[in-house]
Amino acid sequence: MRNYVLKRLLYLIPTLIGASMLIFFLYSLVPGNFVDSDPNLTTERKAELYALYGFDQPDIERYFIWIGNLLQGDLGYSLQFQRPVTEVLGNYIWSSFFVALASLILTWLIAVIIGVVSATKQYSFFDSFITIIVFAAMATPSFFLGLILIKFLAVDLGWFPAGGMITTGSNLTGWDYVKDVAEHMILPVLVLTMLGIGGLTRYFRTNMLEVIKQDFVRTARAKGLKERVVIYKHALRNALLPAITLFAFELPALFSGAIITEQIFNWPGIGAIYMQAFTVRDYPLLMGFTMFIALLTVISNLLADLLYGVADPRVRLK
Amino acid sequence: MENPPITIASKSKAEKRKKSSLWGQVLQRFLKKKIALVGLGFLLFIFLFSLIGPFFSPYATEGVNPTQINLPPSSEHWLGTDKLGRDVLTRLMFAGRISLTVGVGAMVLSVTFGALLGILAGYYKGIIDQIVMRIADILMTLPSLPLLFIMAAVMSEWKVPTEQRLYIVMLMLSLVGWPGLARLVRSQVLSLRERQFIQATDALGLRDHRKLLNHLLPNIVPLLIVSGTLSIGGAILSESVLSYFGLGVVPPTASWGNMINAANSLIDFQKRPWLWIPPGIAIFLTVISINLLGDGLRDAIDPNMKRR
Repeated sequence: MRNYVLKRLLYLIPTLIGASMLIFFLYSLVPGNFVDSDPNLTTERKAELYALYGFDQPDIERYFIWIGNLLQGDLGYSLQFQRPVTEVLGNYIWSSFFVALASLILTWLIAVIIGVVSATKQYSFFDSFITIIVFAAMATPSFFLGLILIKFLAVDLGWFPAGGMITTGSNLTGWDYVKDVAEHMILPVLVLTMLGIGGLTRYFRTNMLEVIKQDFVRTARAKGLKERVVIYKHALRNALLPAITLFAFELPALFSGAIITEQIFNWPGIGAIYMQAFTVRDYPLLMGFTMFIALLTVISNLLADLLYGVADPRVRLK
Repeated sequence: MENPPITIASKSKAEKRKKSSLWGQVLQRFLKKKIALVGLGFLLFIFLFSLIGPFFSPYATEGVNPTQINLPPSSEHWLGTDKLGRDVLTRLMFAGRISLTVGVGAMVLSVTFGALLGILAGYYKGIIDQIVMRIADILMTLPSLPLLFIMAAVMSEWKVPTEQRLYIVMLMLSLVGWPGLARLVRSQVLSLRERQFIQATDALGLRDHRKLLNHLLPNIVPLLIVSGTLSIGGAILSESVLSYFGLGVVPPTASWGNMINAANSLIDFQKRPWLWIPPGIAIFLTVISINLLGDGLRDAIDPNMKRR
């Protein structure tokens, strides 16, 4: 087991180096830079800024400077915010995190319940109905879903605020502030939940259907246990276990922000900041963020594989 | 943990005895899937709507009409007109051509790349496998939306005429789409190459290209059909996101995604929903039909294939 983990960790190194190279050189191919996007600068000032930000050096050298700083935990300096990238990420990541966390909890709760009911009543009306809903959720573009919800629930009916994180101009503190933010969170969380629920519900349904056919479930029934105990205590537990690997895959999504949803709802999270940084070509921020997500992705993949072995000891990790 | 995949070779033997071909069986199973047939029907309808619909529209050649700006839906303009006086229904048909072309094109490209690289990696193993799979790993490590944004920005620099931007979008989507497919194909080939019929081709001394094209490829075709079908839906969704953000197909060429862009103007968003809701519904119906069809095909082609 320890050897396996070590081997996998070693494998991560070339992947991360490759990812960092791809990230750096792709961004360096992108036309335009932060200095050029300001038309008010004189030629001399531009040259000064070029030298200051290191734009005048060849790409290869800049890559090694960037990666050297990266290894020391320094993601560089955001041109747009004039602050270290780590600080900018730290400031905005939490508002994304809370939305993602809320929708993650909701998605899993609903998906488990629907999946189980759907599986125990396979081919019933409820099951077919849910199947259709699940397909519908998977076929809707996220931005369109967001727009529709804003149009009908926020603008026409006025039930929810249309965007932002707090009511503009409000100076709320304490509980009122929390309540205000929570109200603004409802629609983004709803969109993310509806988008995520499809695949997970299908997953739980298939898992449950597989488990229900197993011998130990028949044994439990044969012992005369109540159907509820059989389903929830014997079958569900075993259907849930493999899902912990899926949980690990969700890890990057918790921190990466939902670019589209945050953009639509004007939510000041890391996804919206990414889009903003992309428009003004704030490369240190863009590269730092992309690298951060890449790192999270490889770690969560590794975690998923390890958890798989924990959940199912029959799987031998070599 | 996995069921042993039923090979086409052993299956077709069993089915020859029943005097019906393998694909005949698949067809029979498929025809029993009512939901999948509904999906297929809908998809055909959308194809016809986009391809030959414009021929029935009186507004197809007219285009811009300054006297008929922003009209709500009426008996003349079923879905109203936009800010240039173009008939929204007709534009929806033209946009459909673009969005469907991008979806199918991106699928063909990523299936080609994915299948080719997956077969090579799985069959030759060793260094080729290492290179291909490491590249796939790296691409799958990066978040796909930022990756698409970067590529869109880079490729905008190429100054491609707007009516040809859709080919760029196809290429971008397939660059993001091939790694997943290559992985699937590779794992399938890794198990197929240990089978006796491939060993028999070794014994016969067949050349590599015959082994790969005539013996391995036909056995992964079912996998390619299913994942290919499902990936069209994904490509159409991605295209709509890119075009909505102005990074995909750009006006005056209409795509369903950039038609929804009208929602970015506050007045159009609140007061003229006929401009942006129909394209959204068109995307929704197309993708749901594709997914239903793909799901039905998967069950019909190989009932034991793992659901993903």
